[in-house]
Amino acid sequence: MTTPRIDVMIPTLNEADHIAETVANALTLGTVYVLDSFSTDGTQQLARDAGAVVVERAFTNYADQKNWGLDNLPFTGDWIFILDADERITPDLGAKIRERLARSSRVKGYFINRVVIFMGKPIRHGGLYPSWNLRLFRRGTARYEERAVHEHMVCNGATDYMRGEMLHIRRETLSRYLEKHIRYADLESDEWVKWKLGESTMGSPNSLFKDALALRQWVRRHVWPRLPGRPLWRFMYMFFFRFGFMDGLPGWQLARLMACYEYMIGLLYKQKMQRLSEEKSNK
Amino acid sequence: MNSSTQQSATQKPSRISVVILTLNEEHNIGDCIRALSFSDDIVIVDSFSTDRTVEIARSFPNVRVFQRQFDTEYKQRNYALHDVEYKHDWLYICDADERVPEDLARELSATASSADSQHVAYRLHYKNIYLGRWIKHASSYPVWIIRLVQPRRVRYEVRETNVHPIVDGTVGELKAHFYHYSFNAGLARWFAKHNYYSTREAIEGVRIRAKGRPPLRSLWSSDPMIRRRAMKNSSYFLIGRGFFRFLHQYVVKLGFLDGAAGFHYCMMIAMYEYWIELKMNELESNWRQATDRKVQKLLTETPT
Repeated sequence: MTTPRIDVMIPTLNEADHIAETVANALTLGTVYVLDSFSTDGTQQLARDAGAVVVERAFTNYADQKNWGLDNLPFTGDWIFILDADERITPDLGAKIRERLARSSRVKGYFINRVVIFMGKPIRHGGLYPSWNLRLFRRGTARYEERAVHEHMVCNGATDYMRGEMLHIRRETLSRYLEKHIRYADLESDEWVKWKLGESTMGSPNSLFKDALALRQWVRRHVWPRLPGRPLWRFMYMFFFRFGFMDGLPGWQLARLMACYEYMIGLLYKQKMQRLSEEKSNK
Repeated sequence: MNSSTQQSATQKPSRISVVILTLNEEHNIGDCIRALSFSDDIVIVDSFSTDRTVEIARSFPNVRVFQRQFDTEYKQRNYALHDVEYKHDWLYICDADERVPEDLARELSATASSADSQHVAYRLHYKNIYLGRWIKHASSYPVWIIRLVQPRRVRYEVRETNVHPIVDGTVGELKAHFYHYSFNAGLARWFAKHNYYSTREAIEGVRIRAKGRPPLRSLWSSDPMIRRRAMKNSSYFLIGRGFFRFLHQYVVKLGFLDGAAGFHYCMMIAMYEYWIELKMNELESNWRQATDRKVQKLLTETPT
């Protein structure tokens, strides 16, 4: 029985705070490649010093950047694991991956469970857990769907769920966290505008309901943006319906922050649609 | 959208200089300067914008541009007051997202030309515009703000953000308003700005909380400036800032009379207050340390 080799790809932009620890952590799994978007905080050197191969490429969007990495990085392993700079593989998950991949199987991709660590606590409710992401797959079998933010991975072949979990560390300052939320909300509202104008690259209506993910996406795109009081619903859903209150204070704050995020998307969307109609009437 | 601010440059230049502090204001700066055509001495103090702000500003003959690395708000503002040579004795302080309408321009010119003024500064009111309407109640109209000054008689207080001028002399009042378009450069910009302000406010709040509650009697001071500051300082001890701010703006101040724009404005301000409270909590209970400790523990646990 041969041990399959794993390559880890870490996409980065200004992750000096994390990268040395992330690379050290990822090296327990296999060879580490950092795909950096020309960081200005020294991420590249820190990654090299920690033992990673570093390749730089100007950022386009999340999906495109990672797809480029999948196509162009000098991978040699049988499997690829995609890890974000603020994530860590627990010793338990590492052991389970090695054990699982050593057995022969027709599975081409594995969903990995992820737990958020926020305000010093693992968050196990509020709909944030379990969080399954397709992150481990046979080289050449998976790609990201083209989308500006919250991109999804599509795997060509059988998939399965891996036991064990990785950590998603929310240790940046709240200011950085909100900065990200604001940026994502701006991008997300652009997507909403596109859906509204029917310019999105979306599957045909017939293929929509083939699986649960597609149905969820359809609801997200065509029902959710039209629902009034979204921030409140988002909060109620997270805090009550998904038992966010079981996580205590961090759960309460996260539900409120997500309500803020939802609210920002809605306001941005409203302003963008208003500007579009103003431009139209000015023509 | 800003038709009320169009300015005709017929009268001769008034004896008044203008200063505008900028950082990446390409969407605003042109319209803002056009509305200030009553002055032949407009100074931009720019914090090294990376967009077309400086280029646009320089295209006006009555504009001079200075650049200074931004450190803190009060230092930047005091630099603008004291380290720039102005042509005139009176200085009007303007922000890029504000527009001076004709009636205010006339009043400013008249005030600056009357030689017998005993005041060293003037305060005035402004109208906040959101979603195309004046959100009168939601934005607590009327609020006084000192904007016309003799620069040598005024300095800004030392504070993290939201700084007020300290005036050496008496303050007069103007009747006309300026317009404040806080959302002109896009809402994402407003959120980003308030993310920054809330960080500074939280730092200020933690400092004030460390000193203990302000004396109760300062809440009833006869000086409205002292009273406002005392209320603000007491507010850092409150739980549920966002909620109370919303109640205050939307119900007590009748923000609901301003329609959807008023509602959203109140909610956005409440969200900003929530961010301040959360950031104070972040600083005081050191989230980062707690998270690092937890991660360390989870990563050293042996596989099961």
